Amino acid sequence: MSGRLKYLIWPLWIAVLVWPFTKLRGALIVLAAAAAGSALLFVLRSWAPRIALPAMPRLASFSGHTKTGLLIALVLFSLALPLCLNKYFLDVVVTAGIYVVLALGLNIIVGLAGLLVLGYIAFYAVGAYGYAILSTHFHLNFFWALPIGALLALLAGLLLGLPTLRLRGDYLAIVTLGFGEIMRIVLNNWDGLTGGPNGIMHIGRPAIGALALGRPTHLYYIVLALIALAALLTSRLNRSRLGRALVAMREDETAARACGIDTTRLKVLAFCLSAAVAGLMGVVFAAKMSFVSPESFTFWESVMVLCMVVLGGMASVPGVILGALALIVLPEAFRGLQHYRMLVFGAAMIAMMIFRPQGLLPSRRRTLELGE
Amino acid sequence: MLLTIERIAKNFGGLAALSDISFGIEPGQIFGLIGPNGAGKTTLFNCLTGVYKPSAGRFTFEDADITGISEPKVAQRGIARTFQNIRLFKEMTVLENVMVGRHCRTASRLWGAITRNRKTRDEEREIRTKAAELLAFVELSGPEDHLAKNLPYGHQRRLEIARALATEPSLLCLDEPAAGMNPQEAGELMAMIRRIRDRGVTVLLIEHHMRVVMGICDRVAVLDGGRLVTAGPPDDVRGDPRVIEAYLGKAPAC
Repeated sequence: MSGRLKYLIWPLWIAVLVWPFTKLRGALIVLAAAAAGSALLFVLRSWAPRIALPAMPRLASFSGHTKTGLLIALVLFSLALPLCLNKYFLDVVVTAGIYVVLALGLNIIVGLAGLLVLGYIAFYAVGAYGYAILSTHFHLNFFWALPIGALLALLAGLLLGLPTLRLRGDYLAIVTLGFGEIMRIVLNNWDGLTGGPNGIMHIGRPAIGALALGRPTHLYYIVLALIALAALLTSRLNRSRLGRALVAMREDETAARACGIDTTRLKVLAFCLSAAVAGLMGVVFAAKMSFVSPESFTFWESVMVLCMVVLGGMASVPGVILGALALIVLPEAFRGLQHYRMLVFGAAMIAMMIFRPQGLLPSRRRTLELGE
Repeated sequence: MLLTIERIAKNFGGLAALSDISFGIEPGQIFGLIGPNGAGKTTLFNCLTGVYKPSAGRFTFEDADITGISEPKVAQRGIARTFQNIRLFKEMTVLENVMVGRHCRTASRLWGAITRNRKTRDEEREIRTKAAELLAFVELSGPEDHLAKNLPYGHQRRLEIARALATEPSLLCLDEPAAGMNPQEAGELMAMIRRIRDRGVTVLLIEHHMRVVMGICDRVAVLDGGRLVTAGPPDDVRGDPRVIEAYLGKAPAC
């Protein structure tokens, strides 16, 4: 949608959308609210673009000192957070944290390499079930299971990646979607190994020797450490020779090959890395819930993770983190709206795509692209 | 000979796009490849650089058989190319585009990227320096941080050449670099191609601009209908009746 028309049409469209659920009066209230928001945005953007743009700060534009300061504040805040949250909210935050790492993992293949993968959650399932089985049968320690889960998912990624990565675009999306569904159906039906629809119960919680680390606070710090690790590694990857090659491949595969980039190997590498991250978090998920069942690994979960990457800003590490937090925490915050919260969620996603297609905190390249 | 092309043929189904092409390129030459539209010039480029596998024949480059090897391996061997319709990494900056060209001459891998050890940092610095140097060579030093797609057309052509040079080729294949350029830009391009040759890079050039071809090429090969019409110094080729026929058609029989 172009020009000013979108500011007019968007509130009307939202109002029509909610009408069947809220009756006319509710729809009019929504219309008024959306119109006011839209008008505010329009005024800000047209009269004071210099004010409106920094309203969503660009990390790249901050100086080194500001960045370090922000980072320290963020770390302190994250470390102190469990002190001021009740058990329920802590649980939500841990879930959000798991998704943050998942989104960072998916970002490697979708954001950097530009390959649309729709069955990402299958690798998460491999990690989760891998730990579930190893823990219930062999009492494998959680911390040993972390690398093993990642390795299992990596192998699954290799298995799927080698034959399918010569496909481009839509075709790859369809194959990965199929893989995700196959994984879920296998889990649902292989009663002997996975317990079928009943899932697997009594999975061991994290512990070092006799020291149990299964409380929500402990899980919080484990997940926080994994977020820090994933953010560090992916942003380093982003700014390396390999990261450049991945982006070049996304931009123009033929030209990338002519520059001596072996795109087949690079795709397999990106795929395996993404899968390994998902496997790692699958182990954390299984340990957190101490129960896994196929219901946790539906297509919807894959879509959610993908939305986090797109909403936050493809290929941008801070953006993806923000996107994941927003998509988990906001629906929880809107729980009071009951069924409407998914409606609000959908409307917010569409509004984002209209008004800020580059994502919340776009990567430097995309900022340049849409800013000029 | 730097590159020997022996009896190369390429068929697409029943269509013979190339048949029985043979010629050789000496090191240090600027070699022109001309011919009317559809003569098979770009197909020959694509066979040479690994985009297509030739149906028959052999490419020998620096005494090694390189027939049918993949594009990345061709680049590794030292053959770089540009494309007829410019193919830049549009959403990357100008500098990054050239840095990607260094890919096949650098080695840091996943471990280096993650740990960012001294070796990787040194290599990264070297990539950056070399890329900046090449941008200076093609006179594109100003807009290093602009996105490639925002460059004017002529600059995009030069950027593509800089990216190709970043792979340190011994043979640079340019596919119609002067297309869409005005006479002044074409003149500047000719000067640049000479400077590239003076760096020790052999140049294989597909071109339609006769002035460019005749002005800078040491040797010229003429293709028509997938066959080699003739090859030789530009002055001989210019007067060859078969070349005139290929471009202008047969003289009417009186």
